[in-house]
Amino acid sequence: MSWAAHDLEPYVIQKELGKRVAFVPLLIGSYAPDLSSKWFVYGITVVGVKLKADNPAQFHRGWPGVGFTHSLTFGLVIGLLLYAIFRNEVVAYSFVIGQWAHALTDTGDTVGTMLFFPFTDHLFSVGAWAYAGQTGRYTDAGAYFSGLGFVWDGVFVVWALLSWRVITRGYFRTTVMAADPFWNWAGRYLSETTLVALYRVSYFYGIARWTAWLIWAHVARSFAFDLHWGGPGWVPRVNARELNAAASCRCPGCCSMKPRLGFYGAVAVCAWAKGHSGSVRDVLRAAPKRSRARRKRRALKKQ
Amino acid sequence: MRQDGSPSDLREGLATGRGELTLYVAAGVVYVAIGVNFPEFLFSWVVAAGYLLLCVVALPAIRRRLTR
Repeated sequence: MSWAAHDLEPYVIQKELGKRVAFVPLLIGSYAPDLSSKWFVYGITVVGVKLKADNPAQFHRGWPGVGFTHSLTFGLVIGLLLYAIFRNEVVAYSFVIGQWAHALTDTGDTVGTMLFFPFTDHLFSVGAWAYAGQTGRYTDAGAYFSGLGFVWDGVFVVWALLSWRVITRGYFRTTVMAADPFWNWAGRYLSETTLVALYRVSYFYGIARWTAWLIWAHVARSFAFDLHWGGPGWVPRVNARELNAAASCRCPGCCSMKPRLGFYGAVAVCAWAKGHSGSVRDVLRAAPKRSRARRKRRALKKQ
Repeated sequence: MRQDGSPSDLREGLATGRGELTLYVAAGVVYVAIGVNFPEFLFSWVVAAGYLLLCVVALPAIRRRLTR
């Protein structure tokens, strides 16, 4: 899991894609995988009753559990639902981009994510920092900000600071508002200063929280830094191989693949490709004509 | 000013939004100080949003009204 990257990813994506993405669905997509699950991973007490998953890592990332929220397919399904509701493709694919960024970022820890669920429930993990959600949120925070996790978040903090243009008022007015229908709707009820502050919340939250947790872990408390791969070594961590069905698999994507689902997936992809083959062929046929026309225009300009 | 509405360089950006930047940085410093002492404060996005709106929208508006 990441503690600040999910807050800052939407801003760096916004910087790269400009008016081609809508910010609010991008942000919701970036938060979506953890929205329904984080509280049950760490546990909460409601009217004296402690609610917590028996196996937090399995619940959060695996199957059975809500690990499907960290799959690429989940992003696509919700994106299609959004398209069916709003009939706005920018809103739909902005959500998909945000959710995919989250799912891919979370492969960095030792548990990883079921990227290709339901075709396989295998957890794909880079294993750079320890997954310690089962230890409770304070130990998890201490561990995350003592291992490579905080370095990864630091990359996003620096990247977000370098993308400072996206949080300026002029950029918000010209680019963000133009691409995202939410802000025009909200603008009927709220002042521009409030809208800009709301737009900047996650930027503020990501950078301030990263700084605060880092100080908390190493100044207020004394968690030991351990920047080894998969560290810190002092925290009990969960590994993907403990949850994966095919633990000894050399080719993880294939070995725990459910053959029937894999077959259905292949049929769906073939059907889609066949349905689009005509239009793809048309595009390919038109391409040389277009480039010829472009060359002609350039030659005319030079003259 | 660039086509996307943002300032052409950092100097121009600071010149146009220095007051606003000071407000956000001050809010950030206080947020970090509270968070380090009471880490529970750092867990909620909603709390952060409420805090930021209070610091950069509500308090300056109240101050403007009082000094008018």
